[in-house]
Amino acid sequence: MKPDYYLSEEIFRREQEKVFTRLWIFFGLTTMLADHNSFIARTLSGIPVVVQNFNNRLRAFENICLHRQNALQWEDSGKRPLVCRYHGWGYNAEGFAENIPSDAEIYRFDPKERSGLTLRSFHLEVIGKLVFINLSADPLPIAEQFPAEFIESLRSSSEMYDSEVLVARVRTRFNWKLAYENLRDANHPPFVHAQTLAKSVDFHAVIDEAQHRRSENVCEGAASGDRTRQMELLRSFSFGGPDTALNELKPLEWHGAVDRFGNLEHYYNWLAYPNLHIASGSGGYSFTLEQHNPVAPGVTELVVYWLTAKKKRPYPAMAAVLQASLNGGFRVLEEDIRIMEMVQKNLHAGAPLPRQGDYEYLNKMVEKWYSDLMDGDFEI
Amino acid sequence: MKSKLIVGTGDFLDIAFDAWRAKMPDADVKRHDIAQDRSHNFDLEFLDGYSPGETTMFAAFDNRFLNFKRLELMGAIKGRGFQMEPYIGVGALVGAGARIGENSFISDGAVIGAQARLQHNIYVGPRAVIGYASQIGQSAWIEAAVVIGRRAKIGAQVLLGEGVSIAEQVEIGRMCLLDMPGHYRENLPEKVFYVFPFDGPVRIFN
Repeated sequence: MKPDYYLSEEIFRREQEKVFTRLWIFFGLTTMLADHNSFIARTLSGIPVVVQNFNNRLRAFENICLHRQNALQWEDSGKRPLVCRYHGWGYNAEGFAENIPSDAEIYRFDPKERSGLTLRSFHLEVIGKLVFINLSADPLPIAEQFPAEFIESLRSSSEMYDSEVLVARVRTRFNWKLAYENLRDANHPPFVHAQTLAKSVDFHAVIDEAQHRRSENVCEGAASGDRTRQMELLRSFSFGGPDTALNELKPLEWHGAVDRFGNLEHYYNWLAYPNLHIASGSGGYSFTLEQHNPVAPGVTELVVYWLTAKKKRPYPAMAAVLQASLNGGFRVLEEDIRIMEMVQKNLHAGAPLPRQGDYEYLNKMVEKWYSDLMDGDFEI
Repeated sequence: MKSKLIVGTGDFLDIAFDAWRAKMPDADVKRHDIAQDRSHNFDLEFLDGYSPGETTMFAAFDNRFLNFKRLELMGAIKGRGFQMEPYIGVGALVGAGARIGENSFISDGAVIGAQARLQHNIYVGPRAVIGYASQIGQSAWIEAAVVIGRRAKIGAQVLLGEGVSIAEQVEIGRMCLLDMPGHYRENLPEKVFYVFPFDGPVRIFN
């Protein structure tokens, strides 16, 4: 895409407004929200959000106390009531400030103001064990963003996730879009991951002629304000399931302790537009979820979840399995990060536009859709 | 005198073998470089050639797999009835009333404070200082020059990397991995990892 899309502060702000506050964004796993008062707190598009379990009902609120703007939950996740540590204001499942210590004595809000002390809430959807948030007051139905078969694939695969999950965060110096252009590019692994991933999976870039012709049709047209057509295009950016056969699936002791997802010795791959990638490089025995959260045009927070398929018996060394995955799996991610940081570092306003081949039909379509959204008159 | 067999692999096997040989110059100290199959299971057949009445053993395996592999190896040897006394380095200082469990390795130059309690299978590197009355859980791995304050509690299978110090009375949960140099002043729950290049702690939730 044109360099401005990766560099410009103004486009970044527009992107936050037009993409990240309109689309459903992955927020976390229900397994981390299983108990009453368990919560996950994160910042989406600059807005601190907390998802909290109230007696098995998940609710999403702005994570700012209405009194003096303190964060209600400080940790990334945990288990405690939705009570502010500053002056003790406690909120209920509706986000209402149900308990204000010394309310009548020292605050003396008038009844109308008091009854309106309710946190801003956000829409929340759960697919299998995946929690999605939409920051819009009037969100599009999630089925408009993701195709039905993709939602079903996310649901059935995530139902097989184990509850023991390792979560890691790392701040990277590249624009989030580079990560997904890279993930949609099957020609990079033999070069970037020659000593790691490409040893176990033979990724081959192929030209899907029908998709290639479709991308030519999409890209040749002028900017389209036809929302139906644009939303149909958006849905085609999210897909997933078994991808490429593994060269070898090395048997590991812990495999016998989990209920494997599927029975294919394949690399599984799910891409959920805009910023969630799920993979299983172990034929369904384990999963990696990667989310690339935009922080600034050249800064992206990468959050990675490592987990196995659901345990069918206790396995005391599972923490060591996850820690080993962190060591091995992050090596592959680091290889991608190194490339993308180099691309980002080299970009400038006059940098040449990418010259993409026919196998890159998907990236071409995403680029067209994105530029129509950023610079055209269509809105999600 | 019984013979001693040092079982393990890699640098720790070399270090432990040399240390035991120096400590027991007149004893028959041997080493066995243990193999693992494709699934990382130990090949333990060699144990059939030894008798607990004639040989004592020491398991010298590094901290991989959150110290589970060294614990597994020790358990397999111990389960066959072999004695596995700890190694206390010639130049280590062990304070009054300190207790050190089986198959632990206290390197030369380490200081174990008085009344400290070290469970089994713990590695303490050279120049590490274990504070007065502190408690170290089984299979912990404490690198060279780590400092643990008095009455601190270090959970089982914890790894403390180089440049780490633990403030007095702090409790570190089991299976934590603190491999970023620094002074840790707050209690940590179990399974928290401070490792490069991640921002903040890596955590395992369950």
